[in-house]
Amino acid sequence: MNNYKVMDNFLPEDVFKNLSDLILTPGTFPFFYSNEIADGDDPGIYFIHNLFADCFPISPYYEAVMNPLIEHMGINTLHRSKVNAYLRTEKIVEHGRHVDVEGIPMNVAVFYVNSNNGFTRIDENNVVSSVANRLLLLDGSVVHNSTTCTDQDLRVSININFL
Amino acid sequence: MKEYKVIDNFLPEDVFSEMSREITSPGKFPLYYVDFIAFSKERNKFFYFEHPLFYRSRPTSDFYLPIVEPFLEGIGINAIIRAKVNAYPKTESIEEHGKHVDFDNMPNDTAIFYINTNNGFTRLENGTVVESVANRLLILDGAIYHNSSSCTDADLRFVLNLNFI
Repeated sequence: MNNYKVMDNFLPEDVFKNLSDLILTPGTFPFFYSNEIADGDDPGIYFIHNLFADCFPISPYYEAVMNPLIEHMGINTLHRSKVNAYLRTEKIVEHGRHVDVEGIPMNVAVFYVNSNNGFTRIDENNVVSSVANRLLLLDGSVVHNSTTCTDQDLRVSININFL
Repeated sequence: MKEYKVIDNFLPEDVFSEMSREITSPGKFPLYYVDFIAFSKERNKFFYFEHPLFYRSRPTSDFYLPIVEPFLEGIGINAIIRAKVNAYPKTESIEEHGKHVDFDNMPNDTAIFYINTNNGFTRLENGTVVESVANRLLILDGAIYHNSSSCTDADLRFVLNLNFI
């Protein structure tokens, strides 16, 4: 039995375009450098933009980014959300296996903002490709990992933990 | 004559330490993706991140004064044209970006302040290479063509870029 679900063309086209333009248009969206990917032992860096944590929106972009997703996903209780931007690498780098939140039953969503040749690995046989406007839903107990990509400057996704 | 000079240990140690910590500490300083470097129209060849501090006669960031103020008197700046922080991601091998002048429509001086030490550099039109050494200031006549580079030994190559009169 699959413990994950993939939904393509998740947001209406115009809504998705507004969201992706906001995040991807050069010079418009602030990212913050982080030297800890997944388990902290991963090589390299990535950029993040935290939207919601500790029961509170922590970004002025929170509503613009999250409202469409909350509405279409029917989220009742948000635990954490952030935008991840992985830098292009020479070869695809797979990051550390992990669950996002330990000790709390939680669902995980990965919303792919741009198309690229990176992916989310669920297990040895199952990967979910980065396709723009695709939503991946995972049970929070499923160990998974992200990757970089080689064909775009940035691999951008929105990571959501919710109940 | 088109001139340049390099000044090491430009800022007092405590001032530099605070400024570099503010900019280079993970998670603290907002950076914006730019999909080209130095006027190149070749999208997806080079990219970097920047934080605009001042442009078109006005500050564009709350970080403007804290970062730029020490340079106003230190360099003797009369008028700022543009100020920004650039962050070039590490690459497999060093990539040299396109030769350019920052502004070709007005006389100006250009300053490049190196925020962290790495093996990237600035190359001037006469071939001179100015290495990225933390707290080093390069001042050059704005008419001197130059280019930046990436580095291979730090996650990001951080510089402050000032254009002024």
